[in-house]
Amino acid sequence: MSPSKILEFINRRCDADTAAEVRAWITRSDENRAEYLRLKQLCALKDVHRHSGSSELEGATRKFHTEIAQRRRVGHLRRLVYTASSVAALLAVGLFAIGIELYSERFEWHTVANTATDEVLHFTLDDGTKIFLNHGAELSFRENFLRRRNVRLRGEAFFEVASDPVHPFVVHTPHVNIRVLGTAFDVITGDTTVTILERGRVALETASGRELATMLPGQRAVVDGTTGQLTALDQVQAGKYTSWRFNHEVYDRISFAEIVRLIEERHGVSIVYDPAAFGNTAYRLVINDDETLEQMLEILNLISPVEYTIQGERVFLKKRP
Amino acid sequence: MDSELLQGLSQRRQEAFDRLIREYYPRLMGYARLLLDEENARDIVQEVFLYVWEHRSRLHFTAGFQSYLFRICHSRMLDTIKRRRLFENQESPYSLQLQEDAAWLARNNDDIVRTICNKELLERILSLTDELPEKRREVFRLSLLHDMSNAEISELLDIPRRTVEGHLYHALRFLRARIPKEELLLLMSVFLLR
Repeated sequence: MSPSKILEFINRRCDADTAAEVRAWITRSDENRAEYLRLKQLCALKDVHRHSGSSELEGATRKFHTEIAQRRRVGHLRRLVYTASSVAALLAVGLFAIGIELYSERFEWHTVANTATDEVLHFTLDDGTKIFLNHGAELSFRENFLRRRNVRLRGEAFFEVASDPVHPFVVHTPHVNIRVLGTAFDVITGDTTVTILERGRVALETASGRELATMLPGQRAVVDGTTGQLTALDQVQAGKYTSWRFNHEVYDRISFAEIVRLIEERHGVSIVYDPAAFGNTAYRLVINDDETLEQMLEILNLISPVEYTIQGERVFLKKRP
Repeated sequence: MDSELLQGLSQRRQEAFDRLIREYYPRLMGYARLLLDEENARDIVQEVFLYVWEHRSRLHFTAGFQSYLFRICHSRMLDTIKRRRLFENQESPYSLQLQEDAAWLARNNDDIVRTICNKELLERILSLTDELPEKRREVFRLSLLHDMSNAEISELLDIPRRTVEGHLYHALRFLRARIPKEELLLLMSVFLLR
């Protein structure tokens, strides 16, 4: 039996006939089986080496850290839901006589903060509303959130609010309240509060409930913090303000070879090419989280004309004359 | 596993966990790849580290921790295979072989883990390949380290397929001659059977 056939069998790359042939050879004698298993051990050693590249190790470490950070947050949210439901069950027995307004004030505020410096925190509230928190932003909500969809925001966040006409969604910022029916928009708080509406409709109100403005898609509204007045309402390119939630990364001064390594790491492929054929020029690269392998390779093509063929987990790269 | 790492882990120091990943990610990948494809292997190895992290207050980071680490990985591999069994034809040559391989792994687990953790052996093989003539080394590297098929190598390097097979055969015979048989568990002899 040729060793390359066995190797292809181990990698599950044979056609059906060859696979049956190798399998028959293995079962023919104990000696054959032992040879096959030795080859398998060699492959295991080879895999140890293959997966010890520094970029893969860094990727694994980074993934581990992201995951434990996420579990910490999810654990916190889950505990919240547990407490919320048990508290609600307990209170429902004794408190039905007391005014709903009064008791809802007793629910404590809980805060989810994005403390990571280079990552967007993305999560879904129990009503299905999607929240993207930018660096340093904090979002607070109460345990009775499903009944009264009120949240408080400090910093920048993007909201994709689940539609529910019975329960309006209100974002409280230090200067202005944003009342929502079902929509997607961006809010940045600071000295002024800026709202950018991507789709749907929202109304801006003062804390006392006076309406300041109704916004249309693509509009940006600025509310001054000291006066509480609307200072601007204009048409903008909403995507420019809201695309940060896709977690795009900016690489300054990155070389062709480094971009190739980046693609290998992000897409789990190995790229076969001749580094000497490409120069050492430094580029500036901005990529989104959801860029596909083909899109990334097209980026390479823009930098320097290349031809590529994708074969399973390998990509062959050739400089185009 | 050295005592410094174990001590760091039992003190629940973050750097110790980073070092654990750096040292054991490749080995666990090699181990998991014995039964799983690359994608599934990557997922469960990640799960192993998360499991260790989440149970860090209950685990004993003593001398037996290394084999415990591989045992966690082993049970996850079996879970994955069980789940996948629903989608695969049980009579196909690959499935039949997988069942035998799983039984073999369960029987010889300690020996296999020892081979995988044998850093010297791996380094020796790699340093020996440096002594090969250039073309032969290239073929050997592409075949074993990049998992390329002979047909792909012949296309990439633009040499006939028979030549590729010849290079591989000679490269392995060279290694075989340089490494004492018993150390490699006769790993190479299969190539000389033709």
